[in-house]
Amino acid sequence: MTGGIGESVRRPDGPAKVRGEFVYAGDLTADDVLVGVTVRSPHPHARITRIDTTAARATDGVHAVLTADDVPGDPWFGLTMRDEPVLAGDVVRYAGEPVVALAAVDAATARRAARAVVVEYEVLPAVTDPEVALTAPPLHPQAHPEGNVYRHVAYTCGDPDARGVVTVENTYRIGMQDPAFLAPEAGMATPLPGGGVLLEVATQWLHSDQQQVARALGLPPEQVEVRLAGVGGAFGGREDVTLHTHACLLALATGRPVRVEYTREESFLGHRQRHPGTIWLRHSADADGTIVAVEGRVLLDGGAYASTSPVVITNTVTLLQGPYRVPNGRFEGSSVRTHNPSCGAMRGFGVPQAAFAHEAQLDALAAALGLDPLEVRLRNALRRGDVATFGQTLDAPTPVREVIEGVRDLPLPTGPAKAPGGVGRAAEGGTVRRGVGYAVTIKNLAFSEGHTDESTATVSLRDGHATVHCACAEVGQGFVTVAEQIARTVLGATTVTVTQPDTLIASAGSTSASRQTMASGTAVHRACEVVRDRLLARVARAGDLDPATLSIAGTTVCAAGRPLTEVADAAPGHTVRATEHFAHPDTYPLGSTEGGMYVGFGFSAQRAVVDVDVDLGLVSVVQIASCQDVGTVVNPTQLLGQIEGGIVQGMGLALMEEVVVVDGLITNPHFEGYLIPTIVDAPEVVSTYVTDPEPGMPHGWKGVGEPPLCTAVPAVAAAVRAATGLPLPAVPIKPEHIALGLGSTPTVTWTTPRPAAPSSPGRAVVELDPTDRTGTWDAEGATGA
Amino acid sequence: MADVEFELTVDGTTSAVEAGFSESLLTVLRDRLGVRGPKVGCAHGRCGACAVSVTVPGEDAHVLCACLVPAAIVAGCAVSTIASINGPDGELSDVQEAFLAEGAVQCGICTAGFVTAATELLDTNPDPTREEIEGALYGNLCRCTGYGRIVAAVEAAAAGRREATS
Amino acid sequence: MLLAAPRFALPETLGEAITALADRPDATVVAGGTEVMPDLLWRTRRAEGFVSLRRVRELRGVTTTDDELVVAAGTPVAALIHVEHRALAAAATSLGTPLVRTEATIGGNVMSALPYRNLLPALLAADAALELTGPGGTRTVPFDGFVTAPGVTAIGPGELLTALRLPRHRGFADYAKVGRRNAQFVATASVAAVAAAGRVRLAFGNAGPTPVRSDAVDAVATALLDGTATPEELRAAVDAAVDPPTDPVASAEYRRHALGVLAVRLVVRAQVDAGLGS
Repeated sequence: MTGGIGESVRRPDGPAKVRGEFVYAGDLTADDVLVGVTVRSPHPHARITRIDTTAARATDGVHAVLTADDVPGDPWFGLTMRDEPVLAGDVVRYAGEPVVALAAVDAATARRAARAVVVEYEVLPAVTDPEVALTAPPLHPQAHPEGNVYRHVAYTCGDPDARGVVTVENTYRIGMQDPAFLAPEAGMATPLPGGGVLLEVATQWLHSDQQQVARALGLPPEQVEVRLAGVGGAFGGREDVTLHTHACLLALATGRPVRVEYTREESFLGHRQRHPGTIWLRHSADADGTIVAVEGRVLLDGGAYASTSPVVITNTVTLLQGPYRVPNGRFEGSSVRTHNPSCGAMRGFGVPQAAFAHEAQLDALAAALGLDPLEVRLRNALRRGDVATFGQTLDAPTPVREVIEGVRDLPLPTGPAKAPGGVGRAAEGGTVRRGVGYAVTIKNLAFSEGHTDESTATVSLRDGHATVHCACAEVGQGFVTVAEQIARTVLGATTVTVTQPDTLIASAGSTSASRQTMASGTAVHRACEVVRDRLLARVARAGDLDPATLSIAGTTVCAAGRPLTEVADAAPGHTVRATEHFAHPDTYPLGSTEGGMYVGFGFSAQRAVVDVDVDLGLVSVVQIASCQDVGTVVNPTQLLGQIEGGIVQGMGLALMEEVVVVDGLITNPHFEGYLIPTIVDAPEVVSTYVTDPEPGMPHGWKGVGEPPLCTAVPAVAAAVRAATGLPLPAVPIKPEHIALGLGSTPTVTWTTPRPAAPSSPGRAVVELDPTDRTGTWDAEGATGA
Repeated sequence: MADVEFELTVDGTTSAVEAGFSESLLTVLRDRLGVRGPKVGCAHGRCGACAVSVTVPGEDAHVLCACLVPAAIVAGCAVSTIASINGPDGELSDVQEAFLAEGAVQCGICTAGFVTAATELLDTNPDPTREEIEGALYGNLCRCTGYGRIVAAVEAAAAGRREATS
Repeated sequence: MLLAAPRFALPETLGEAITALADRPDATVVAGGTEVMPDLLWRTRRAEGFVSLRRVRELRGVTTTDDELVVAAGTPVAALIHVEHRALAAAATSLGTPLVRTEATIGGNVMSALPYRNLLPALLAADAALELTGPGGTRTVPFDGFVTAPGVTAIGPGELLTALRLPRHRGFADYAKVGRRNAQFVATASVAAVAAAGRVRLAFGNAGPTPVRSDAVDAVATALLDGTATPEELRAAVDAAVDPPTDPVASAEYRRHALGVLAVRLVVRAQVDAGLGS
């Protein structure tokens, strides 16, 4: 068979991409198209005292200037809480918040008109410290009168006060990472006859966009058609609505197509970042390294609007113990509202923060006990059948030990390595020390806590040509390739077309949470199976055969194993079509006795090797070896691409990437100041896999996109610690943290062992308090990852 | 808005252009001439998604960031974009083919720039070391691949050229 | 003149350039544009027009006389990578990116006058002189002192930077910088060194509002080279001479530290080059 599951099939969109002919959202245009731009608040918190659009409207070539008063439907939107204004009318709550949207004949005219808009502000004090926000009066009483906590999560398991011989504690900090997809936000809205609108946009989640935009426009959802435009990377940063509604409002106001394309600076201001946070952890263990108890506390800065903050905090708090058996624990955390930029989804969705902290703790524990860091991890590794701290029984493969052993046995790098400091040639003449560090992580896969995780696909087959239609957003990850592979394997299709996703078919959910091969891949697989069975039934009828004896091998229909006809010739001119739906088994809120929170998990271990110029604090990541639990290998090249890409984003967070926010203002909204790894920074990656099939999934496949990032952050940090002997409790690690030895050391306390009280409950106990609040999403099923 | 009028030859076609004095070559290519192969990643010279090759009369062709060059200063020059990179008979070039075969393309927004820069590298240095590959390509950012497959693709294309000439 | 418009001029000769600038006193002088275009994007600079030197052939190229390396101001940075002055070559090699260096010019880097720009410490360590040409003719000034504040130079109205003259130097010279990643980064701190006739001359980037050098530092560096001072003494001398900023990228304390470490390393490299060190 060629081109089926398990092979390194090339991307079907690849030829157009290498020729520069692939049409991205920013390449869209139309006859009579107008250009839309956004006027944004320069202040993190201010009252709008006057908006004067007279001069902008009078500018030659300007066709519409819209303010909050021009939003015909619900003025509020948001993924989990509808707390964000489509356009700010009275108060702005972060620097960069949209206030006015306008459209003009070209970009230069639109920008000139934007500068002519007068917005007067009464600047108000900004709360930019999440600790302060926790107890401050409500920053957004209109939408959130209870306070500033998006969600408070607290639970215990066993007896949290049990103790072994040693406790290790420290406080860890994680900076704000930007998804930094390379194509800034772009889209085009076109008015449709009958008052509706077509939105072509680079997005991760078409149906969520449809619901949110329709609500703001005051239209029924079917009047808003969303079609995927070419996406230049996403990584979570396109899960929220940004320019979508503005483009549609402008198109409806002008009766003309309107394209909006953000600048890089606007992209930083306009989309959601990864939550920065502070995590305190205390581990207690026996002398042999067996973990007795873990206590943890998390504070994530959610910024001005909720986005997915209520969901992200749940991931961080529930996975704070890592992929380890922890019989006793106390965990709590909050995501809070501030006047900083809004944070939301980014690849890893709350887990990189947890992973950075728990893996630092495991190393600190090993050091305190004089044990090998891998031995401590192996000793505590979760296994299938274990009950996690959050109460879920791990009833699928849980190959924690296997991934650790898989990475441990890979050869260390030999030969010359890239110098720390790279092209700056600073390291010559200095002392370079090598460090090796390990990390192991658990990442939940798919949406969680009862949020619907589903997809639908329509597959048709005619003369051996299959067409797949699904609303799954291709953002670069290669779903289009996987869908083609499935159709070839199941249907024996000789050619496959994956059509552009749109909202004419049911929702596929978001391309996030490592979920689309599992959800949409399975929907496509089911649809292909039904098409196959219908085709074979037709062949059976025509040939008076028993359909039970028919099968497809390669591109051939076989009867009792013998070739009968080619699939392409099996039903000439006849189209066989099927639409199938897939939904994962239900999940339940944390603490529910009905079932688990999560659909499934992926496990990953990495070993990082770094060279550090200790005097100058410069780091070169020499190699990262990875062993990941992937269920099955669907496409080896694309899988490697996910591993390598995720690892480099993780090392970016570990070493250089940080949106620096000072008094609510982003100081580096550009690629001169916000640094992502270059080709010189990228390490050699050695990638191996554990392939223990995931139950309930075709071929046993499972999500793979997020674990590499989650693991790389702590692995790189551990290696730098090993090279320097420094505690390095914050990422990104800055050169001065190393050179000047900044950062607090874990506190090690020797304790009298105290076994868990026999009466302690065996499962997770959720502590509810009045500030607990779960975001809700009433139309599309709240997000989660 | 037009401050200046001049001619540009883009992928072999000469056009008259009217532009503002500070309008970038990238803006002129994309918005005035409809040439959309060069991409907008940052518009400040850091990502290389807009890389094109320019020949100024009397100089060798060289690759630059179209976003950093005011279009009017290359008046009368020849600009060669990704659309001019082809193999024989309009097939994919060896570099393009290698990018596909090695999985160097994910979202692809950086790809035209990488192919442009890698093609110039191999045209001037057909047998580059890994360090030379990195040295030639660090003006191009990729957020999806982590670069491993890109290095592999350039090495594969170089190996192909060595084989063809040996 | 290849193009002439009220707000734009594209001269082909130096004479045309001087005239074009005289006719457009409010215009910004650009060469490749790599310095000015991001500023315009971010609105940190306004421009009323451009006079571009990009097509003035006589402003491109490197020549040598018996005692000078003469670099025309419009020479692209990419062409400096192989010049015999190794401090200038090293600073050029790590400037920006390969795609920027083809259009970025030495003159543009100097006229940006920002203390973290790569070529500035190299030119200061090299004891370069600048040739300024205006309607009244040409004058030569030392680079030391030319930059008077961040972004500000001592160039006169109507004058153009036309050439940079470096004393010829074939011996040890080098440049190193630190940043927050391993390629394509603005110098958090940088140092250039030139060793000639047993004497070391150091210059520092992002070590104060303008490029920094000091006789006191050079005296200690020279002593370190011949083994009569310690690395600690050089670091102390550097510490006393520099006044680096604190910003979101790094603290002044780290910059002081890095400047001292880099100074010592460059002198150690000079020792190795001279066969003096290990």
